[in-house]
Amino acid sequence: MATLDPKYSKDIAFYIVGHGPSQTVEVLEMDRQKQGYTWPVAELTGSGLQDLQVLLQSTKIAIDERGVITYRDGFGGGDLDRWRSALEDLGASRDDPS
Amino acid sequence: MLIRFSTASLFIVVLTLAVVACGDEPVPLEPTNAPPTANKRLLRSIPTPSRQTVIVPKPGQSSSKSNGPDLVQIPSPTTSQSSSDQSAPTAPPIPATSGKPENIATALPAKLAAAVAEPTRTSAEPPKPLAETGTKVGNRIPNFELVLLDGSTVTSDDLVRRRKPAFLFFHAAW
Repeated sequence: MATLDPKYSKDIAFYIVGHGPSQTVEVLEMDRQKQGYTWPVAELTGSGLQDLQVLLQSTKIAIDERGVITYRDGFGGGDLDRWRSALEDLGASRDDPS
Repeated sequence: MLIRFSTASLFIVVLTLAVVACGDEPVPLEPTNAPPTANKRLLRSIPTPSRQTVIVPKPGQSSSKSNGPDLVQIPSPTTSQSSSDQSAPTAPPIPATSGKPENIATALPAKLAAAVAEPTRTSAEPPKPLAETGTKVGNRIPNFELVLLDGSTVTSDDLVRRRKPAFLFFHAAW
């Protein structure tokens, strides 16, 4: 995941989100620096994890500019090509006037 | 003989009064689409109606008093109508849409209600239905709020408002 081309960050908002109450932004920030991620870290407030039904770590959710989920995978799901394709689709959907 | 003379005199008086009462010339009717100048001429041609004298006893006084009741002149309805017509500005004639004149007081509310009830057509295409909220691909994501390291927050509504796609990677640090 860390090897994804940072060029997508220009048009897409990336967030590394903590999975579970122990994954605070401070803990994630230390891990982000260790892993070499360039994206900002964040925590979901309230029942966000439950609302989004994030039950597995390493869950990935892509949403387009209308807030519609365009890609979702759990632990071990997808690979670099699949993620890149999902990001390309997000960029294309943003350019699409419809 | 005296009775005959009295009857004849009474008949003459009644006849004179009838002639005087009917002495007003009839007002010619003018079509509604006549120009306003014609209406002014018409108003000038209307003679001032005569006032009718009605005897009205004051409250508390009976008509059997010797000095008699006070006389009060009450203008007849036609008098007040004519004077108000003369003082009112001349309105432009309303074009007749049918043979029957239209009552504005009843027709206007009905037309307004019909105009409000008519659906507004903004475009030929029906609006796009919003995606159903859910957690699967194709669903609109449920509302969420993220707190960043600097304490600022980002909500799903913020992203939609900014038309910014997002990629959330749920990570666990070990």
